[in-house]
Amino acid sequence: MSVNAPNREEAARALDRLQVTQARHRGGRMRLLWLLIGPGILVMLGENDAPSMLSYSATGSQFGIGFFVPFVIVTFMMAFVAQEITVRLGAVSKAGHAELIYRRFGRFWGNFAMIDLLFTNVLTLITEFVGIVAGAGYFGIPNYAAVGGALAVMAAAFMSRRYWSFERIALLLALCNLVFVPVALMAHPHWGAVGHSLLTWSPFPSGFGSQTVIILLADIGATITPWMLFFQQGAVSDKGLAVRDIPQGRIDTAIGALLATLAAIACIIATAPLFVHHMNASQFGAAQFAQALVPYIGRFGGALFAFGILEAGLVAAIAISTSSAYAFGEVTQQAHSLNRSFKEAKGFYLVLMAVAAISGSVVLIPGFPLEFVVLMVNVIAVLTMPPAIGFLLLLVNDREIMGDHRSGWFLNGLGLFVGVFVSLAGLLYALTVIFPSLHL
Amino acid sequence: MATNQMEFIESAGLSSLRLTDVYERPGLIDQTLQEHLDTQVRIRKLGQRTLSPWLKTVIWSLRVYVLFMTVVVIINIVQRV
Repeated sequence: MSVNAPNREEAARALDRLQVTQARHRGGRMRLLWLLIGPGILVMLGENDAPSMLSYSATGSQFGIGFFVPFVIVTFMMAFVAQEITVRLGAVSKAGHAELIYRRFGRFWGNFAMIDLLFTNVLTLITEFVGIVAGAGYFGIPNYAAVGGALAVMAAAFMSRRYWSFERIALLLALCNLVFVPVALMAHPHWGAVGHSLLTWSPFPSGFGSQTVIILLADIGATITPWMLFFQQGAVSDKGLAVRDIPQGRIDTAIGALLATLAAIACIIATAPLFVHHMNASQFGAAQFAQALVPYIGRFGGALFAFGILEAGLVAAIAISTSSAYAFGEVTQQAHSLNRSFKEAKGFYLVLMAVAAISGSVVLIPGFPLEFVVLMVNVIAVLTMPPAIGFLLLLVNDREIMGDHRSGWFLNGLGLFVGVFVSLAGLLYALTVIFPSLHL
Repeated sequence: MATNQMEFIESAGLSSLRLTDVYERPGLIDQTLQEHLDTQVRIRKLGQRTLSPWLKTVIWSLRVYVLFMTVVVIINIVQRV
């Protein structure tokens, strides 16, 4: 860092830090929290992306209000465990996730981690644009206009040249994920059934066939995916969180998990009428769900549902593109901050928009098997999580990186539980694929 | 908190801190981002960690898990098609 020639990134980060210092000095706890929240809420609500909301829709329509309602709460608690680690890693190391993996484990393992990330990110981005197109299609917007419009909104968010501005724009969009809450209320759910499911985890799905296991895995993949680790750690370090900001980072992540859980459960509840009325929604896309729900929640409710899927795809496309660009910049050791202008960080911004543009273009290819990709993407994300969690736990326990901020035995226990749980879920999926007649 | 930071914050007021005001003060930037600068230097000096045989086994097992699951997904895709 040069005293004589500070760059924009340093000046912007210093301005943000001065405002935080000011808030601390003046005892403004709410203002301090306002300044420091962002990465956690964004990553959690961003994870309620188009395929995730479709997974929850499929869950509600195929299983109603039962086992999966408390199950989703548990999956978001597991997501919090993983994401809290990224807050500490980012605040203590001031580095991104990809950079730490490459630095501590070398190019060989770093390349594997990057292949997992980029592969799942590209697939997931395609499905985000599927959601955007499907949601926009409900309102009669043509595919190319939906893709072009989404890319324009993304560009507007990215080109603010200030991480703070990007974050606030993205947060505003992300909060629209809560549109599923009024949709759930419009479905006039049986609140007794909701309470019963939360207390007793029932009704339990009858039989664990391959379809149930895929829904199970898709719901896990709807809350825990590799890109979340790379995005939040990158955002925490780009935002410039200091070590003493870790408690606020935890609160930020907890708020995000809470809001995302609320939206996810609301989505399950909103589509439960399809289960009650025995509608076969197993092959439904976003638009079909919205149409099918109209008799139960009205035209306005159907429109809100479609808007929710569109928003879910858009916010996730922003977050996932950013995670890819952060990883690219960290690995190639090029400038990678949203506080930089395009001129100062060409590679970073080009990767950001190129990844999004390519994924959006795929959606416009006639005959591309989009519904199948949407179905499988969350499953694939879960299957690539165990090594991601492995590296995460190794990094957070690395004394040379974390010093006194290493995880204690309790947090390590929780982290191991998440890794083992996700691995076992994957093995269960493998069993049902290799032995299709198996019913547990 | 360093004196320069305090003086700047008090003189600039609660809501009127601007990027250009900060940009013109390189010394203030360095002072404000001291923790970040020191940490970045520390992290850049880190080399590769030595992996014990046990850790290598764990990491390789996780990698084999992903490769196995990739095959399972392909089988699942073929089954569905």
